[in-house]
Amino acid sequence: MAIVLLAVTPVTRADIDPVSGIDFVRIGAVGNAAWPGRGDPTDNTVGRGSVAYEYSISRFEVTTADWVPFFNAVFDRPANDRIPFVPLAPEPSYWGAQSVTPTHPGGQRWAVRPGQEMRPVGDISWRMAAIFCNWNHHGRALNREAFLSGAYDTATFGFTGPNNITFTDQATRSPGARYWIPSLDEWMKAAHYDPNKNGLGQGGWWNYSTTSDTVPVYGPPGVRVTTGVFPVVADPSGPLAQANALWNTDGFPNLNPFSVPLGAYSVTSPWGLYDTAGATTEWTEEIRTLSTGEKFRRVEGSFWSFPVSASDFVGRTGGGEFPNVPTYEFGFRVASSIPGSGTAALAIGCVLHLGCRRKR
Amino acid sequence: MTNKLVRWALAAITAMCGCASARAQVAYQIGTSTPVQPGTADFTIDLGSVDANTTIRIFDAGQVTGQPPTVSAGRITIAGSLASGSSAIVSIFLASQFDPESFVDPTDQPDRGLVNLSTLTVTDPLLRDRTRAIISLAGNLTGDPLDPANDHVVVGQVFRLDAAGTVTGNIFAGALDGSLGGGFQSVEFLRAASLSGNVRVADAVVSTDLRSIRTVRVFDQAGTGIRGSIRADRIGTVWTAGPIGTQEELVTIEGFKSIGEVRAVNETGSMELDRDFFVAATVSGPPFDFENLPRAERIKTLGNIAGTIDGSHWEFIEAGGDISATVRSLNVGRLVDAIPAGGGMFAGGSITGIVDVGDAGLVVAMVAGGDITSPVISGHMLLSIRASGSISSQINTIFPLSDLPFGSLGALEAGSVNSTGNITGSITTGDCGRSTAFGHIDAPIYIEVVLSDRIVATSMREPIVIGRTSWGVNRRSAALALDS
Repeated sequence: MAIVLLAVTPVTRADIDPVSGIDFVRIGAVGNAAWPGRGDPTDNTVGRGSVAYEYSISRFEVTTADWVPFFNAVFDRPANDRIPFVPLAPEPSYWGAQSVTPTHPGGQRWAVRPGQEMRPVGDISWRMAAIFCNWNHHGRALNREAFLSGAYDTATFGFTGPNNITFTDQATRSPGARYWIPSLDEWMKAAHYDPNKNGLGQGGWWNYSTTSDTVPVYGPPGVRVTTGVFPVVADPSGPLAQANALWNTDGFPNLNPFSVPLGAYSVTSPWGLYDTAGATTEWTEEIRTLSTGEKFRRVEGSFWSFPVSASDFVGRTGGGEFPNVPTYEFGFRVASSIPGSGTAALAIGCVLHLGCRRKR
Repeated sequence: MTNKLVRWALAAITAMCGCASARAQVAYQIGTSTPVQPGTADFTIDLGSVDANTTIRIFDAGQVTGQPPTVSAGRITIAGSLASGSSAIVSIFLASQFDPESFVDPTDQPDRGLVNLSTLTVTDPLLRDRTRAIISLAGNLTGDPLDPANDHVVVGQVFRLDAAGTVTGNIFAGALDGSLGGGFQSVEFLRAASLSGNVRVADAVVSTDLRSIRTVRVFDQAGTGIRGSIRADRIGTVWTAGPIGTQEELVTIEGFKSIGEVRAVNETGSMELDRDFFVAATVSGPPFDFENLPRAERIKTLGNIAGTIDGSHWEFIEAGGDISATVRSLNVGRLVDAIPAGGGMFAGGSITGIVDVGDAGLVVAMVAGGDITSPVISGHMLLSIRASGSISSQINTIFPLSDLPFGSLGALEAGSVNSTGNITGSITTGDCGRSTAFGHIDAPIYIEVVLSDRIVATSMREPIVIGRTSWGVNRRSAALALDS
């Protein structure tokens, strides 16, 4: 069976923050109702998702175009001035970068490979995400201090307890932070809450972040696929895939889930966020604490190549992990206080507009 | 008799290590039946003939909400058999009694159910392979110290095994990938502060049967890292903040069909650790300490190796197919007496990923049945690079930041008498041994110091530049070789 992967046109990034270069969406509907739950005992987000202020959140997970300047700032510097908590692993060619000549002896530098600007970036620990926010908070300055505080004070980063099971990192962003890792409430609202779900001005929660109450269709973009099985395989009579999870090379030997650009699927959250389901699972500030005192940072959303989509449901978060773990599934999207496009009242219009724009 | 007494004593110690009144507090519950407190550290749960899905919860019956468990279990045996024709699944949920039992997402972290556990064994092989387990421990999976070579967790599928302490016991999973539903692999998620037990799956029966390990994560960077072997048909991600192996204990990670990535990376990362170690060594001059650095020891697969192999050191990387992985060994710093070592890389197919052991590094050998296209940085020495096909690598053995004047390239060979192999790309080295291409050499070759052997090819299209004219004899030998 021939599988035709439709040409994927990267989404136009029209609402770029001039400081960070990030495309932000403004989330309004101040004081929205929290997720009420539906009586499932495994629903662990009941009463969450209400946000009492406006904020911005990036339309996409962190992209290669976002991450290359950060890595250059971190690694293309004198050998005695490395930035802590940012391991150079794996090789940035993983996520769409290529090595170029550094400007400092002993430094390392990369450029975005042509056409790879929107490639998602995994292998990001929570602490790396925090340092990225610090750097943007300081206008992407290159002095060492610009990386070490602002949104999150890296002096607090550490572990304590037997076997180092309890992290000491500051729980939430610093007052006055301009960029930060979204809280669980902010993430849930941006992904699932629709201020007009039940009619103009009558808000409600979508079960899934694809502006739908039906579980997303997972598979490569532009491909009709089977549903309800893992791994997903092509099915000409099936629906078009909507999210980059639950498939791998077992079902599509010639396709690679890790190279699918962000924004490749036509569905979005009610606010116009892409890939809240699929690609990387996204760090939040939320902390899960066990009875032993062990603490984990929560993530949200399904991720590439993994057979589980449970966390795409509004009532379930993803698992959690220590903030220093930078394995392939972890990425994030940035939240910010800076103004961005879109308002609550315009959310649906925004989605429609984006859909039309992508079709042109 | 003596052996029995020792076992009894160990069991008693294990049971009491959390709290003095622990013995009666471990409980198990089958389905919604009344919980049973066996009263001994070692106990058997007899399921009889299993013909319907069954859940077994094992927990600390005395655990207080919000408080950690205080009791441990010794050897837990699951007895019984699968009813004829039944495809029932037995789910073992060893976690806090306050957490809802859920086998939906292996990344979920159930709260801790017991402090330590010695063993958990399903005795009947058919029942075993229909059994999946979640085990969440506040302490250690100790195994059986009197029987350290045996398996200590024996189930069909390890859905999640998570210990805040060390996993010393050996883990065996017998079920095929996907056979217990949901696309889940034989070992979905294994997480521990340190891992010294072995992790393995049952052997695949035919090539289409797969038993895989998706995630192994060892999180304590002050711990002992991974010291047990990991074997499966496919291995997804092995990540450790501590080392893999020691100088004395070789760790083998074998994915018989594939390995995704094996990474031993401290949270401060390769470069940061590099700098820190360099500073420490310079100031105090301690002997170089391999023990405390991440290393990828031995990685072997009959299939391909992709992804990343990242650590201070590797002994042996072998793939029956291609090695497209980025292989790096940068952690140990720019110390002459602390050479970051790459051992041998052997691929039945091609070697294409970046190979970087840094400015002071050493790669012993890169041997490929196909082509070698990898960019190679091996600033101290690259002893041998040989491809049955062609070599199109950018090879650099120059060590620019050291007072060492050069690195060296031992031998370079492309093709054979039976097959054409060209050398393209570029070569920059301090001194250079024999280079042979059973085809043409179309690579600029810059030799800083000495060409100590011949360069042989059917034709050459790029110049050879030898930086120090005092080694003219060797220049002549090169010319002679070319003339021939």
